[in-house]
Amino acid sequence: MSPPLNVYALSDAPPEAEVRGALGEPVRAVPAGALFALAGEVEQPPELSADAVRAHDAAVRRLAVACPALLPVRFGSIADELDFSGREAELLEALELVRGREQMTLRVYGEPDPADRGSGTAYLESLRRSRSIPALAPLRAAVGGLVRAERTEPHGGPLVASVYHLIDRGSAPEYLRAVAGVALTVRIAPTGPWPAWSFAPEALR
Amino acid sequence: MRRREEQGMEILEGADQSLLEVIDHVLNKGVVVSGEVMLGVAGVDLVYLRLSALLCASDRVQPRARKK
Repeated sequence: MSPPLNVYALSDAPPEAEVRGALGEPVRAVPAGALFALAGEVEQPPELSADAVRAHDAAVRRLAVACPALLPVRFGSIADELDFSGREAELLEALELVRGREQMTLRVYGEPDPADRGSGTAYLESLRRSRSIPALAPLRAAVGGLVRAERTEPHGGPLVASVYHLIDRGSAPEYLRAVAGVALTVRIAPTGPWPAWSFAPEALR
Repeated sequence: MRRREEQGMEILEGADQSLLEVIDHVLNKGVVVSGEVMLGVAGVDLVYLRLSALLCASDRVQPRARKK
């Protein structure tokens, strides 16, 4: 039996260069249908620690450099066998979306809108607002030319929401300059570029 | 081996903002590959809830965070 695999990412082609995994092990491209799982052979699952999480992030970043289309895989995914047959179409679609792109993450802080329970219609409208975050309209106008796709994740606390923008690789400095030049009524904290963590199918709950 | 949820909680308690960001991306996002996932579903939810709380807390300690 082959050793278990610590999976770092999925792609539709093997990496264009040799890449090392979180433990310095060579990353193999393991074919699985039309996809390739980019994984290192490990003897046991990694312990969950700050260093291990950083090392996983670093391995995914190295792979992203060597793969134009890359979907990161969640930390700690140890697999004996890989079967994506039921999800292949959506994974391939996601790979097309992220090809040549990377992610910016915006944390949005402020006072959450209270859910309006006055009527069914008002409640649905307040739900829609919590997803669309109207306070970000000036920001969306400023970065709109750079953003290829957006995902939002409402949290409903002082951290109102997280917003994920998919941009062309290399355009992060321009994106950050545009964000810095916008005046908003909410505070935002941008980070990135990241590999496209939030654009994997099922990435957001 | 210690319970994995406990390990998750421990790294969160000592984390600065940049590590919290890495943890949120690496542990809460990305493709879930079937097979053994290291944290059980319950563990991920616990870590996620605590992570959200910490991301909020770091906002409160910064004065700029207050809405004008």
